[in-house]
Amino acid sequence: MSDALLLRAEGICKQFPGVQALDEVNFDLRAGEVHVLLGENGAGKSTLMKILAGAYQPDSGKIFMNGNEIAFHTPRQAQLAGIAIIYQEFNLVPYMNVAQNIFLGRFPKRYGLFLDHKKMQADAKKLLKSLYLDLDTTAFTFSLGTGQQQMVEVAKALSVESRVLIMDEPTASLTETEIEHLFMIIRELKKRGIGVIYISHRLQEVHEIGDRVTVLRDGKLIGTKDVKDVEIPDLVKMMVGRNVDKMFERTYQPRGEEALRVENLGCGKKLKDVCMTLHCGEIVGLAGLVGAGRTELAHAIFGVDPVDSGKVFVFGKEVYPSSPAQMVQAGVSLLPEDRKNQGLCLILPTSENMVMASLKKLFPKFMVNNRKEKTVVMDYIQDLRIATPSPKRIVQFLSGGTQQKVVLAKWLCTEAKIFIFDEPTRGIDVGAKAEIHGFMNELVKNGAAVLMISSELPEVLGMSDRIYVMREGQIIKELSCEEATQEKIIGFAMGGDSAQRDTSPVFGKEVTHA
Amino acid sequence: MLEKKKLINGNETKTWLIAPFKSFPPVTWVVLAIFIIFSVTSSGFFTVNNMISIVRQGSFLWMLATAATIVLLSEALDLSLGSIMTFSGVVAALMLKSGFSAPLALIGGILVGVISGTITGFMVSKLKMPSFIASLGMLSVVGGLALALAKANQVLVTDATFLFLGGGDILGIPMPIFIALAVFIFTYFMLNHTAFGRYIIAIGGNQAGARLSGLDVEKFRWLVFVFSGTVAAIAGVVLIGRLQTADPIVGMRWEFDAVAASILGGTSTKKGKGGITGTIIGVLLIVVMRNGLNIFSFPALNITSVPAVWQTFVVGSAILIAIVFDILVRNRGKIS
Amino acid sequence: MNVIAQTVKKVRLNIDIRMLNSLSRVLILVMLSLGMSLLSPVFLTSRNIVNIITTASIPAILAIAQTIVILTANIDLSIGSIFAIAGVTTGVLLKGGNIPAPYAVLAGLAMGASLGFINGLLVAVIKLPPFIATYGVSFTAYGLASGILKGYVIYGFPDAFRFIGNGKFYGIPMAIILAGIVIFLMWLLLTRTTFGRRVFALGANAEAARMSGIDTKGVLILVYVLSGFIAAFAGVVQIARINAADVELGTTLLQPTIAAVVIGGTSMYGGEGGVWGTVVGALTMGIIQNALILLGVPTLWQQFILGLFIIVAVLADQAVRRLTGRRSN
Repeated sequence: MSDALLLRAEGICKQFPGVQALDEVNFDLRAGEVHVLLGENGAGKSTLMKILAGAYQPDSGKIFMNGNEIAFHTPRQAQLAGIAIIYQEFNLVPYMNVAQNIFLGRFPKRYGLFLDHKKMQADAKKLLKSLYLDLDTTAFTFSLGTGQQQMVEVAKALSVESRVLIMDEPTASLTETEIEHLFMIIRELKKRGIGVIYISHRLQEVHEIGDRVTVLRDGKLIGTKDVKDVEIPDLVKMMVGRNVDKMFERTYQPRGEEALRVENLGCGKKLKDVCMTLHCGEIVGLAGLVGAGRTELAHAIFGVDPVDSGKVFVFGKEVYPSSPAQMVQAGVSLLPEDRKNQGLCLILPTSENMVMASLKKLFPKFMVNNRKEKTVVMDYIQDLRIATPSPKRIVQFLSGGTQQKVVLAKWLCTEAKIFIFDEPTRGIDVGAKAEIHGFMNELVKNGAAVLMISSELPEVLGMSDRIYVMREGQIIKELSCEEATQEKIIGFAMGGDSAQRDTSPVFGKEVTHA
Repeated sequence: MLEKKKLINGNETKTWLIAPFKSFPPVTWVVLAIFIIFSVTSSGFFTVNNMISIVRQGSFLWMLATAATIVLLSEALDLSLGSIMTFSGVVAALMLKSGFSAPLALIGGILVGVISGTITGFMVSKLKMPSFIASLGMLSVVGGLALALAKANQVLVTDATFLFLGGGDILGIPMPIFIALAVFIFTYFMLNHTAFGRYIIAIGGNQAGARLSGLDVEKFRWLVFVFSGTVAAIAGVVLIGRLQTADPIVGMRWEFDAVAASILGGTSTKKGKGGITGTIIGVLLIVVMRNGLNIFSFPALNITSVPAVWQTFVVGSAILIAIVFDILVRNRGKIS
Repeated sequence: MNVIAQTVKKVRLNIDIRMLNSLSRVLILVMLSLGMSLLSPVFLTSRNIVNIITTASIPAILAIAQTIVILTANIDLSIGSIFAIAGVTTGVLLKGGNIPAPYAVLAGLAMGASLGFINGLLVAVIKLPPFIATYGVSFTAYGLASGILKGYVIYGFPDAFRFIGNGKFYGIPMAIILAGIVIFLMWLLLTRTTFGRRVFALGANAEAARMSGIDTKGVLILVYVLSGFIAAFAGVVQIARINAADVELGTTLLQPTIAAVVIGGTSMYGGEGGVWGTVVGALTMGIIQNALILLGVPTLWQQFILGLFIIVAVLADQAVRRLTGRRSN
């Protein structure tokens, strides 16, 4: 590892509507090093990488490659400059073989027209061999396992003679052996002087493969250190150490009857043997990293995706989650993570969105009573302080916070007893955030049960009675609100120290805050 | 030669000769079954004459289906194929009638397909119209032009070249099949041995990924339609030679058969899955069905023929059933 | 000044874009009429106008059927054939089977609904692309109709039955009245019932609709059944009107219905539009067809012109959507 700087970014700022994604971030990469990038969900890692890869443009700041200042306006330009990025969602063409995927757009040709299959196969094989891989280069990529697809992506990146390789959570879906293999390849790349920017959530990997590590938090650079100078607890502290100055309005209730119980829920690779309970009067937080399976769990419970195994009990009665319609009938509701595509019909008016889930309840006689609709809708607009000039306003034009309130109104209208909130305050301004927290509090005060999926640790800590931490499709740990701390949650979510599942219940303690 | 082509494109294709036998779409058995049923029941079916007739009839559908398959592979749809086939024939016939020489008429007819495909491709790639609607519109435009120009009458074709191309044969084998074969070989080559062919699959399989790899997705989408239009036009100019007239309504709805044949042959409407070799089976199914029904007779049950009027019904339902069957088999248990 | 600017902006934003959309469609109609009245002296006569409306009535009913399907972001290419086979079924029963008119009509309607049901199953459950599914059913229905008729044309229905298509009620042709009833009922269904809400939700965002507890599969199947039913109704009225049942009835009617729906402002992406827009669209198509005749354009060119219209309508529609920042693909 030399000291030559391959890449240097200075003072990078990037703002998205409502949020400062990056704030004066500096970052550099040396030739032949693995530079790990750490941070919670939303810390800005992905944004920084996309800027380096040419997918986004920074609002301000400079980027230097080998000492020369550069500016990428398209991903292609970054590619040509030698920066390759491997996203989590692969960009392989399923019904084309490995070699063709690797050389897509750069096929070797004979006489300028005909594909030179032999050369392509040979070159592909050679490339893979240099990565210690022995794949069947004639196989279609859809038939490969995720780990193998990952390798093909790496090979593809290398085929363009990249000097910088950005890997976004490369080990997320790999087996242990595949991870070892990947590391072997990375070490080989280092020898060739290639610099690797490595985003990961697995803290142990920092010491396994990293040379330096940078931690981002809330869009700011917290620090860059040599890996040998830090320990995991230090890293965790850097990642989460923020002042919890936001107040969360919670009045804790005595726990009521069991509203929801999930037993041994399994769904392919995404959910394994999940067990949890939810009681009336409590807000249960569901923490974990992106991809840990939280949304998958919510979707499984709500009947959006089919489950392979397990049972769901609503107020003691077993209900098979065959479809959302089924679960809505049972009194369950889901405010989805993807508000715009799953929670709302953007081109329809506010009022129609609000009554969409309760059509049968409000209008049992099949005919829509406009007056009744208007009354109901106006009531919710008032109660929830929904900022819209008229109930007929198309929701597309409402702000994020207001949209979320409309979704909430929709479910309140169904008189559901169980509410699953998936990232309820993501992308919402502070004022609306507080309001929504207030509503959640009201809900449980009135006897509802709330399951809250959130990636914002302060929110999880401030709002929850109990917290489940998920990792890799399982519930790893249950914490009471007293014993939970940000460090603990992150620790469990990333598997830093305890890799085993701890299922000791937290029920013993009665929550008696005022 | 056969050896070299092996293992080029992965699990699917060895050589085009062996391919259908290595990757049977489920309906292959249906084809065989129907073939056997017809041979056993109808006396006129399993004769050399009839086989030749099947081959001749099937050539045209084969050409259209090949074009349809290519379009499907890019995750698009071209509904104007039948109309282009008709219109190109009309134009060629009219050119002949106006005194143009055969080669010029051929070029003129094929040019029709090129232009039509260019327009459709433009609408889809630059104007971002869904291919379904764009080609549906072109179906009316081109079909309507054909109708108008031929003045709802059939234009007789008497030119020797055309008659040979469409109705003649070499060593007893009908000319159209050679042309269809040539189209197939060209398309096979294009699909598997040129960058363009691979780009088509890439665009259909993972458009985002294709774009990230630097492909000009718009340009290639456009070219796909130019290709399909041209092939349809080739079929059209040969067809008028066979029918000896340019019938403005003959090609109606052929695009349905063409797409159905592709789907039956294993090409999916999504993800760039499939290929033109499987389409051959699909074409066979449809052609054998139509032909068989036409001359169907089952003396044992006292059936002497299937009235022409019922054939559409039977074929239509049969194709639907075959596609449903095909989808169910492929997605065993995945339909919720 | 700032206050004024803000108010203006507010007012502008408050004008429902959907209203703007509808208004522009009517504007097209008005401009067309004005243009035509200049081009041909005969155009604005009451006789011609009644003629236009009467002739456009039955295609309008068909267009309504198509509207419902398109509202869910799907399409029904079989309505022409269902139109035909319903007429054939009723005709055959009336004439050949001497079955009383009410039952014959019911049979025709049932035929349409059943075919619609098949469409619904294919699209909603088997998830066939609507193009393939409805095209296939279209073939099948057409073939069935051909098979039943065996090339003959049935004609000569009892007078009582013929009244449905041909009679006048207080001076207004039955075709217009029946079309009006269908329009009214469907408008009611789509805008004032929970089913209608579900249809719009499905078209606007099928996934969000599903996650709001709507049985999207069931709604879609019903939509196709309804479309088949209405198409069948149109077919029955048609044979009453022309006193003959013939297999070629519906073949040329499919394209104009799509054009009518698109011109009328219903979005092919679903969730937007409705019955009244289609009425405007159907009238527009009626005027265009009338114009073609009045201007002496040979019938042979009509399909061509229709095709142009579909393309132009969709293009214009897309342009408008992009300008107003709405959803387009």
